[in-house]
Amino acid sequence: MKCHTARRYFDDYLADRIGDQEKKTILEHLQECPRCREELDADRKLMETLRQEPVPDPGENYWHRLERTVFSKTIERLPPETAAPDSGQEKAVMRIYLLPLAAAFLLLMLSLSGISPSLTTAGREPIITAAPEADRSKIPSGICLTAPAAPSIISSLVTSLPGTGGRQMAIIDHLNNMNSKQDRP
Amino acid sequence: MQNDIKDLVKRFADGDPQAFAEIVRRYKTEIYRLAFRMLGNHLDADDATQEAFVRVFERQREIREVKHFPGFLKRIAVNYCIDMIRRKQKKFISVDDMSTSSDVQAELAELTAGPDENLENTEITSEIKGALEKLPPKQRMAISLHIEGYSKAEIADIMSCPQATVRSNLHIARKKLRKWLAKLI
Repeated sequence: MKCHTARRYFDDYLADRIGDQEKKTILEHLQECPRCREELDADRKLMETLRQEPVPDPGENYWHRLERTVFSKTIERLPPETAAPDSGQEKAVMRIYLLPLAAAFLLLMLSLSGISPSLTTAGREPIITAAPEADRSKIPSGICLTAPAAPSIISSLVTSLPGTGGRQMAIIDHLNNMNSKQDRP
Repeated sequence: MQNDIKDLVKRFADGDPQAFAEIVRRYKTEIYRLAFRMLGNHLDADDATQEAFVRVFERQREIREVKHFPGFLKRIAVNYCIDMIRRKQKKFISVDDMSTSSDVQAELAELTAGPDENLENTEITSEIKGALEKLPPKQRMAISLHIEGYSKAEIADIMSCPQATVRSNLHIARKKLRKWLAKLI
């Protein structure tokens, strides 16, 4: 065995991780090679020196604390949808309170921007109508919608409100009634 | 044992929190020791140990694809240690600053040795630490794992590199350490 090959096995030899045959070959080489003996001896001493520096045991309290810290860190880093077990409830609460508010705000904005019906102007048709385009065109005057998409926008906003279809229809009727009252002389 | 780990990992991948707790309990000492060997102080070893487990938890979805879980876990820990070493090398934090900041480490040293012995141990520890810290991260990683008793095949698995690279890293690291620690050997 050559020195180069023998030295490749030194780690495994020192750690006692080689087979009997390889061990025998290395020992034979070491007997006849003083440089490799020196090399192996230096490696052994170095590893003994490095290993004499023990890793201290931080103690039972530390291990418990470590476990707790790891678990709390994993909770901190969970994505938001899995972090809160009642996130479904929160979404429901948002739907109940925020969507009607948003709808009201949008209605207000539409009204301010002029595409919403002006309920005070005489001769206006009901703002929310299911009447087809052809029928609407027959309405002679006072058409309140200045933007053709307004009824559908408002209808879709109302239908997005929580509740049953009946409740949504009631809101539409209510808005229509309000508009009709305003139109009366 | 191998099947036991596979079962544990499968349960963890399925979202069983008890399985994750068991993983932490089972591997915490090994990961801490490894981190301590690489980083040389309790505070950093603690940080690396926590982070390794948290990162494993974050990769819960891909854990099913992992063939050898212990190697995967150690790779995460060791990569984090390398990042820490690189960050510290950039910041030029001294060895003394790192070691004296740990109360646990100081307590451990007091408990394990008398005053004279303490002084001598501190000097040896400081010499060894200083020498290990001078090594480039990959060589430091290879030698730290080697000190902890890992085989070249295991080190190659953890470092995700061929055994020949491990052998070369170990050879160069040992050569340097023998020179730097000549008076201790």
